[in-house]
Amino acid sequence: MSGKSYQFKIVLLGEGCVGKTSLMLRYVQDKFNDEHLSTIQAAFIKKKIRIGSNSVELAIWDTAGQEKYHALGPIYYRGSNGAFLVYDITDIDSFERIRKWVTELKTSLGDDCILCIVGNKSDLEKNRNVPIKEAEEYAKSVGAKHYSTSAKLNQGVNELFLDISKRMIEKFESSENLESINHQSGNSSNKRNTIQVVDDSVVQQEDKKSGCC
Amino acid sequence: MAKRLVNGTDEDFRRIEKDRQEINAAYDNGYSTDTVDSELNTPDLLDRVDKYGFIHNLKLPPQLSDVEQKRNNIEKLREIKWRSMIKDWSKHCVLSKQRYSDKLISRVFKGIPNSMRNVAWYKILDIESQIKAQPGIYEKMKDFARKYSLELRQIDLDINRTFRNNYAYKKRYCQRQRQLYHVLAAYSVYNTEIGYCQGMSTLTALLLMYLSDEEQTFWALSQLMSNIKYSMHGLFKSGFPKLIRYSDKHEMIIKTLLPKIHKKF
Repeated sequence: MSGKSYQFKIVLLGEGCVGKTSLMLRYVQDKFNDEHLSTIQAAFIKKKIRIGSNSVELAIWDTAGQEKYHALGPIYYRGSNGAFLVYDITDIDSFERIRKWVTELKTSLGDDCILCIVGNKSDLEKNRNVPIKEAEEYAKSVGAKHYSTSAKLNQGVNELFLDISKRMIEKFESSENLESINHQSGNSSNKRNTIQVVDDSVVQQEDKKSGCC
Repeated sequence: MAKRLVNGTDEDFRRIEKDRQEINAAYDNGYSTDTVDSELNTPDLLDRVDKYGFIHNLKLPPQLSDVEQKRNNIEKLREIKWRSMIKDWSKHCVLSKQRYSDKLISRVFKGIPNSMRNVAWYKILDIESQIKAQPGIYEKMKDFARKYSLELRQIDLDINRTFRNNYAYKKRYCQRQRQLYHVLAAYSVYNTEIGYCQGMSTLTALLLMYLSDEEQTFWALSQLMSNIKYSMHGLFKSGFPKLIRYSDKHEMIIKTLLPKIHKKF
């Protein structure tokens, strides 16, 4: 099984100013800027990586953090394969906000989405306000994995993206297997590695033609 | 922050109060020369600033390219036309009837010359009559915000991240940042349905760059939000009704005109 290619969507969620954009820029461009610009609505970057012999294309969606933008969340996280729920380890409020996102993602995406809870700004360890144990236990209780990162010092960022990619591949493969089992028992059509494109616009156009004549 | 107020304990209230005092004091004190900012001390900084005030990574070429030179010449010609148009403003624009001359419209679409933007915006947004109709309101709101606004922390966080690559907003707590703080805070208590919403800082910062005056910027922002012609209120108000409507429309257009692309989403 070599040389597969995957496409995944990851969404970054979390309170304002916890470092969502910084994490993304550190990973994609290996840059860190103390005074970056605040994200309005959302931003989007693609990155291709190789894991073993497989190539993975990540579509990373960065969102605005202010509570008001919470309402737009569903537009951005629909169809996500993975989500980073980012909090600032010095700000307990930002951790509380994570809980809201977790509940919401669980309800709308079910277990299809890999959840990662990310404690960013680990360079400010001396000002830590969120006990690491509590965060880890919480992550475990909701079936997510906990990570500590510092976008500023470039700690744990690559590992974070690599790990989620591996987990998304696993998830994808296991759901494929499930489908092929279904297939063997005759439940599903013969789609496995190919996606069938059903072009119903052609049908529509034909309808139109017959309609106007 | 609003959430904290609803279920707030005494400690939360004390925290908000402390935030408020700290943030107000920081802007009152202004830019401190003690601030360590290695970029500000680089000797070639001014050679990297373009005509709009944006700081580039590389030194700008000492001479303009032919294309830029040509563009500048066109802009100079347009400037003359705009000057005479501003003099005869009532001929070109009757705001009470929302009527604009064809010349004005076509010139706006060609691009308002940079040097004329402040006057043009001032005229088109009808700032003068706004100030006249509501004298003293801005100062009152500014004062009120200082004491009671719940959005100061978010505003401060965002000013720290607004156009920091522009020379005017580069220095923390500098004059421009302070003006921006005042305007956003005042608006957050003036239009309580919006308060402050991320995205407004960039919009207001740009208005302020050209208009320079706090009160004018405040009313320009107010016009963009609530004047029927611009109605940006619905883009920032909670739930973003207008934004969602636009995005639905956009989706419909893609679906109808570019069905193959639409399938990819």
